[in-house]
Amino acid sequence: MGSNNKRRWGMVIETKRCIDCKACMVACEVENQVPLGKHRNWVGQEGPTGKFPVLGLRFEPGNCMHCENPPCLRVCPTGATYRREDGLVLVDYDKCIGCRYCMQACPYDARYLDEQRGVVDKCTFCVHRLDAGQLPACVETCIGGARHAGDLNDPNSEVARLLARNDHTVIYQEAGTRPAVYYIS
Amino acid sequence: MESIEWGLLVVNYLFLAGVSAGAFAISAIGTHVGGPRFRHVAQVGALIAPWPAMVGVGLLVLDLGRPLAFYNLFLTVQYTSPMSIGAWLLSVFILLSLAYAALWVPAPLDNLLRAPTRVQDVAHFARWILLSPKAIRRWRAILATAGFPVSLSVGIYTGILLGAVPSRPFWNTPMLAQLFLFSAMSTGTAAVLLVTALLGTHRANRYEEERRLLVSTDIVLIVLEIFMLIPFLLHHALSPWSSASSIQLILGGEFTLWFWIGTILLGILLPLAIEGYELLPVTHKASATRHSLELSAASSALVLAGGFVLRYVFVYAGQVSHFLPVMAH
Amino acid sequence: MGEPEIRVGDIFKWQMSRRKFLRLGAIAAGTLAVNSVPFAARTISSVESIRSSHLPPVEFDREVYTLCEQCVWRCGVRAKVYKGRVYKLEGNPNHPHSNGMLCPRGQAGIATLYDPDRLQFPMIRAGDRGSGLWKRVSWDEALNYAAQKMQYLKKQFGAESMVFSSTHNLAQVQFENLLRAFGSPNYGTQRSLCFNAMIIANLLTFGMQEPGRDYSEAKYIIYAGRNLAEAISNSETQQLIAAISRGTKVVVLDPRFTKTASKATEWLPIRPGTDLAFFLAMLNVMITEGLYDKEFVDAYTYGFEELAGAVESYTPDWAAPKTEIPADTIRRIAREFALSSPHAFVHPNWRTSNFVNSFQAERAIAIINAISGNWNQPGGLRPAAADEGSGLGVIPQPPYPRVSALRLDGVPWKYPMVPLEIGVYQEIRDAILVGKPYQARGWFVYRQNPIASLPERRKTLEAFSKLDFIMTIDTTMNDTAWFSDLVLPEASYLERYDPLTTVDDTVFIRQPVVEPLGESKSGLWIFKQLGTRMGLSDYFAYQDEEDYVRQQLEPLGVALEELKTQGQCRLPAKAPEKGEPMFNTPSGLIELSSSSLAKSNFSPVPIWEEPPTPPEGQFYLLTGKVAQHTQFSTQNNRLLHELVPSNTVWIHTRPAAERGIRNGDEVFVESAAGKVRIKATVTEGIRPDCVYMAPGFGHLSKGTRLSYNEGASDSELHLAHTDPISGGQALSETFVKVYRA
Repeated sequence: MGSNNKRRWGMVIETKRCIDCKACMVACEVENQVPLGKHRNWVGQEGPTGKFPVLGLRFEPGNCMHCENPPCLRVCPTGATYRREDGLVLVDYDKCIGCRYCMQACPYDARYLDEQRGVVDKCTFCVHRLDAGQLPACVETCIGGARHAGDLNDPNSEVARLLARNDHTVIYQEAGTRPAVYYIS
Repeated sequence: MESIEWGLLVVNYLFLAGVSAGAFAISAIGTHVGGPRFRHVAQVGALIAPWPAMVGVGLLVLDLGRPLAFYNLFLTVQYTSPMSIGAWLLSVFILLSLAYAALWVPAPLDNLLRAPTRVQDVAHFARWILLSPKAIRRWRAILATAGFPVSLSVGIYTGILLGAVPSRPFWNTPMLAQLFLFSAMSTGTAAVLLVTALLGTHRANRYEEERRLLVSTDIVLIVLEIFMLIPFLLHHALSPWSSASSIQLILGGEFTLWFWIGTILLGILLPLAIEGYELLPVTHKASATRHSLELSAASSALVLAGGFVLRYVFVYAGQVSHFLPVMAH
Repeated sequence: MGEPEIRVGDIFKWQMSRRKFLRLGAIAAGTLAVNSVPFAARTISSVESIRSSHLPPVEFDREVYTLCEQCVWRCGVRAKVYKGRVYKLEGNPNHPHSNGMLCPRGQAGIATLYDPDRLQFPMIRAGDRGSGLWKRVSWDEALNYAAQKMQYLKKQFGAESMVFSSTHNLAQVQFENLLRAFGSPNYGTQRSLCFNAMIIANLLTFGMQEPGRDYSEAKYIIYAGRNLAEAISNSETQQLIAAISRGTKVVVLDPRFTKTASKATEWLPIRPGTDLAFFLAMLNVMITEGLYDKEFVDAYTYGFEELAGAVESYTPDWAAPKTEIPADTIRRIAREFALSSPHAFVHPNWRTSNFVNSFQAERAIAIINAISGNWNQPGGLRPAAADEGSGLGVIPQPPYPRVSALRLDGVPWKYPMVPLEIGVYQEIRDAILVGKPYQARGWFVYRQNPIASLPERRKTLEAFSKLDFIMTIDTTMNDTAWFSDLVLPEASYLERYDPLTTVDDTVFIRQPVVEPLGESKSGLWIFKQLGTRMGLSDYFAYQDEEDYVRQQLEPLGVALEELKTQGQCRLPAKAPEKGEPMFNTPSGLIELSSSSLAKSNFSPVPIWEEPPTPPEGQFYLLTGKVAQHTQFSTQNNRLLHELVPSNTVWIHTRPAAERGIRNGDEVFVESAAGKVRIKATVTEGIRPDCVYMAPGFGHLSKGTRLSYNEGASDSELHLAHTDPISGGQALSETFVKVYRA
């Protein structure tokens, strides 16, 4: 990581490698004490498509996209949602009043209301782990090796190299959110 | 995840804020236009304007995840957030409408309308002097003028609150602001009409002129609502697939009956018919309007109900609408 | 919580109402004292004060290396403890089964540890079996009761009247020690419900139970089932996905479009029961077209001529109508496979309890691998590692008493080919029912759930009624415990020591991460206690769990403390393997034609056995796995229940439409053994002549409150069909009717 380059955290997800085991979901729930019934991440399923016996099935893991242009940040009335220099979009729980406007604004349905605390919460890319030099919990445990995380601005990082070598997309490009989570199919 | 995060508390708030805004607006018009004939309209409008909004705001605070932390809204102004702007706007509106309502209190309460004449008397209430009728009229005009744009803004902002959210295709149209504005004006007018009609049972003159003003205003507003809804439907139906799919929610989907029966039939067409029937003799130059208090009350109640259902349909259907494709998860 | 505890001697009823237990003969309704953290209230410490630095911890009280027990893969785990509670489990990067990753069940381990339905004290039944009425007793009373009962049965009816059963686990060696010291020959494990066909076929062919697979260089892999994407064996699943990513060609034969099938290069929806035909045809093509490793066959195999003669008639054209796979496809795959050899293998499979002919199919698979010459080649089969535990110290015990009684499971007198340690589990249940060759009187279950797992659940419940004494050791009140007379609480895998285990040349430890909940105890402790109270203390020459492990470590010269800190240590280096492959068979060679089979009058080479087909209008009932559950034991785990709370029956669009069944409708699934009510999933992803239910649901026990009555049990439907050679179950030979409820 060059000292002049600003770091930008991002994820790359290779959907072909996802087996929909949902270990990432359990790991996240445990690591981040997510209330039962709520989720910071998910695995979407497309299919089975087609007609027997020519069938397809695709899985799409997801979580908060930590957008460069986050709609949640724009609509937050108290400024509780903020964006760190390294690209992480986080919630200041002291300022959050639980109005859930951000939940309406997010095209990815990435946020949830933590009823016990009365604030809105979401994936933080395991910021506490990133800051301690560890991988996010979901990435660490991914058995298929579908989830990758790292510094998008570092050309030597795994995520940067994956993006350089493969076609990739983001979800709901038309929303103009510029997510930090990329998909390789 | 298609949960309904904003439920009836939010629907009620949007509805009530609209009623308040519309009542104030009609009162402001009544203050400046038409003179003594429409004083009653202005008075009723002024007196009812603050309360729905205050109740609505109360509901909204209760709806928060952390109600006691609501003050955070007033520690900052987030210019990109319609909700932040709206919080400030609504606060100004409420204070303004309360002051305005105070100017319209009927006797004997108007004995409380006093003001200090000298700066040093501000802290000594006993020395406050009764406001003269001229002063009262002047202040009414000032507050009506100042508050009119604020009330319009309240009406518009409830639409912008939803309309500025691209992630909910059903909401994401600039027309939502106008639609909600006209709905606010018409429900506000209807509220004043309803109160007037109910009061009319106890008065001799039955406020016919006033009610005629209100009914005419309401007809205009309702017709404008129709003119807003048609482009809204067309715009969505012909839009990219997210919007087109979202409009299905009221064209066959789960909110179809609510919308067409609740909002359109009961909230727009039926009142239009009743009010048209009330005004028909006038347009045909008959002697007096063939209106009864019951008809006025009925049509205004229907408009109010329709306005509520409009908010309900939009708030709920919007949250069910989504960018496509939605992955099952 | 301020609620009265249930004390020793109290009788109470385990009810469904949330955490409230009606206490009879006591003051008022009481609650089961649960000093675990209720999962619904799981929060970080600072829930009261919401600070902006409200983030999960990265510093922990301690990090403990241990082994997972959510399935038999036993991945290495790193347990992080925060404020006295296990906060998170992560894969041990140094354990070859996990490589630092955990599957969803492993990650959900803390919900197993902190399950509010954990058993916390011994209980003796206070009402009818299954009534939910229990009496709390002390360990002393419970152990004495068990010892007395077992001794009584032994005295009256012989030690063989006591059946012992357990599913594979690390303390099994001492459980077996107990039952052998006790003198009973009747030992049931889950193996015949699972992989007898595979084990015995490979034993007879290669002389080893389960050859390893080398994915790193494999270019072509054929699976018949073995749904690695859902029946997750952590490291092997990792290897498969990595191999597919590298471009390895994967062919999956499966009547259902599983997640593994969706990742395959080619999915063939083969007719159930005809894998054998496919593989026989493959052999036919390989031999006819000379697509096999002649040198290897000449040097290391026995019986090639006989094999060649046997498969001559099994042409692809013969197999095509049976398998419903085109002959050209079979031919092509055989050629492609041979072309990639020796860097290609047909996976030996794991659970092979499908059809009676599954044994023959496994033999055919083993032989395909053998003649392709992939033995010990990169990308081929690998000789299995040394037996678990070899190289470690052994706890000495006196010789076991001679057992003269016949085994109830028919080994070897009814099943000559089945090794003693494998057994034929379902036979024991059937023997109890008919009372032949003698009537069993007692059943001691450890870490197992026969009511849920044995086919024809009704029969198992009936068999229970023939027994005088049933005792269960487990962590929760599962279905079997629910119908037992005595229930002993075992400490969970995060709370106990177990005997050390080895993977290749490394020793791994399971050690307590936190103190056991309530009064739960380790298996090692329980067995010693029971043994001692039955006068068998000589067989349990260890003071406690730590002493046990120290004795195992002796030959290694490693201190226990060091092993606890590191989580692992090395076994002393063994003498290097000689270059030549050695096969532990009668001939010392790979037996394409098995002399052992011939000796017992079975066909020495694989032969075709026509599988049964469902009558008109009925379906094959398929079983399988979901990634989030392990058999019958995880359905009550809160985190896993949240993801997969229930099961449905998969049915193809066409037969569903014919029956007026829409997606989500309630239907009945009925077999000759039973009938269940379940929701339907209408899908294109399954053969129209098959239906599928995920196993493990339909729990009967009200003591596992989340899973009680969720979904339906396929064991209720399964008929028991046993392969006479391997003793393996044939679960898919159950045919069912499906109709709207």
